[in-house]
Amino acid sequence: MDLFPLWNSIRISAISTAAVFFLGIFCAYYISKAPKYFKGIIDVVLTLPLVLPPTVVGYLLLRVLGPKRPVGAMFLSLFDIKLTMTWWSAVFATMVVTFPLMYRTARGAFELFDNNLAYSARTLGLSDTYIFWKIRLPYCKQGIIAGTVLTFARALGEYGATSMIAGYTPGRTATISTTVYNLWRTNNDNLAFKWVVINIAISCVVLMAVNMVEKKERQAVSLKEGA
Amino acid sequence: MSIYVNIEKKLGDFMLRVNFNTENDVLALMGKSGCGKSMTLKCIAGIEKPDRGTIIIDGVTLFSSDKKINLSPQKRKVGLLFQNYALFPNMTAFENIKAGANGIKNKEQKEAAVRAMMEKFEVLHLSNHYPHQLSGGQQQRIALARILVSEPECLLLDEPFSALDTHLRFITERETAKVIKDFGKTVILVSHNIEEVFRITDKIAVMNAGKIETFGEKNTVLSNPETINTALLTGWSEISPAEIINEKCIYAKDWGIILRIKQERCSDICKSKDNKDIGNENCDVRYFVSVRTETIRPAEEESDNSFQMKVESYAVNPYDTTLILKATEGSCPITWRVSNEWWLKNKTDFIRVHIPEEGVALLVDKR
Repeated sequence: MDLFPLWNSIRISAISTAAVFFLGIFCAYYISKAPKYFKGIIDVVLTLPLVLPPTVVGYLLLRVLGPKRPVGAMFLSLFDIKLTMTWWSAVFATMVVTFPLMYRTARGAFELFDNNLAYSARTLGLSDTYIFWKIRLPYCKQGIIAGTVLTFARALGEYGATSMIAGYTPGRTATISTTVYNLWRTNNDNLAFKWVVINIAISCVVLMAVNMVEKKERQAVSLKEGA
Repeated sequence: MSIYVNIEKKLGDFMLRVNFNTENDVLALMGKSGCGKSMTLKCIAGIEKPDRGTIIIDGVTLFSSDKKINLSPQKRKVGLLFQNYALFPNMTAFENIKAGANGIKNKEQKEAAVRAMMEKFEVLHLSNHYPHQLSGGQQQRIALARILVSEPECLLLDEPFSALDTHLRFITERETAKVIKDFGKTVILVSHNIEEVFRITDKIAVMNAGKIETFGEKNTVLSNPETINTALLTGWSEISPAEIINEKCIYAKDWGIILRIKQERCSDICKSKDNKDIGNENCDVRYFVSVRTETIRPAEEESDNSFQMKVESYAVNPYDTTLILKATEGSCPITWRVSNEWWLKNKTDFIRVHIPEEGVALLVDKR
């Protein structure tokens, strides 16, 4: 059994999760401080990929990154790089689809932050960078970890947008989800079932991790309230 | 050590207009919730930006809308103690205080300063505890230590005892009073507990709807509150609309009695409010009279300010008895507390009481 799809799925998920981690926290932090009307509009735009069908996301990505489309054509002529049909093309797809998960959980965590902590830190002479890394992020740690794990889990299961932008080339762009579909399509039921079991196992582990984080978070909250 | 504050800030329908100036004092800022006390502290600390005005501490301009100066909170050297103490939950007590000592760059000196401060506040044994493992009183001591180790020029305390249980309140208050005395620079204490304020501070400023209504030495404010809001906050519980008969006599409309008042209190009020024509019915100034019921005493015979009152009803409390008194039929009652022993001995339907002149204040309400 060729384990390439497993390795490919994991590297795509890991890279996109890392990118979305920073991007999501960055957006969440600035948007949680933004004025209300602006927040409402930007929130809809940033959350949209969560509710759109992945095929619609895939279509939109192809409209932008395809070799005959503006950005795709530019990269092709300048760097001789094709942005679609490679293994890392799938990173674009998973990033767009998972971004709202990270952004929303991080924003929720930031909005629960007790601003008096930041105020008192400032009056004590602590810099805003120190406050962000040493006070705000640790305070919101549980929410951010939960968001990251969810992002990773969703990235691992991405099918629609990935199959459109990266396609299915065994040994090159195949992920677990696209492999399962193609094995089933070609009547290779045995092997498809094995991949299904692997996928379910990974997802179970990830969700158990989410539950553990959330349990710890609840404990932390009740401790904070009890104090 | 002096502080000068003259600021304006608009918040929706609310207008904050604060102007005061005090030197080397412990100043109490009193007022109902929502009157702008906490906002004033936040403006001084630099957390909120006033629309207009000036803030100067010890000759250093922290904020000036004319000169376009607005120092960041980090540069103001103003220590602000929050109501919930705002200890960083992810840091131990030691780390919290160390965060306050960020001005000291040398690591060993910094830790020595933290340890010395913890010893002073008797919290060294709590070094490795997280805030949620500490009692309210311990949290307050650590928060104060964290502020003092940052060497502020001015200390602002926002209702520092309101989050504490009653039995802890008094002990913590005594400790804080000592810290304030040792600190020796300007301190502003926000509170709505007059007893606490009286024990700790020198001066009192009473705020109402975003403005400072009364400002002065604590004894002056307590004995002559001048406005209804200040009277209520300083423990003058009984208030009735009043009519000024002359400089010494005031008719209390609700109670149906004529009270004699200290002449200077009456003339002070009338002068300070620029109302030359005493008793002018057409003036838009309304007068009220207040009685500090703690000063009421039983009277033997008829004299000035002594009144025959009917005991409408009474309630026996664990340690004293509350009497509901009426001077005339159909008038509003005055409540008066006496000791249980006295009431058992002197139980009666009619009682003669004496209200001393010190216990009577004239209040104005300008509408």
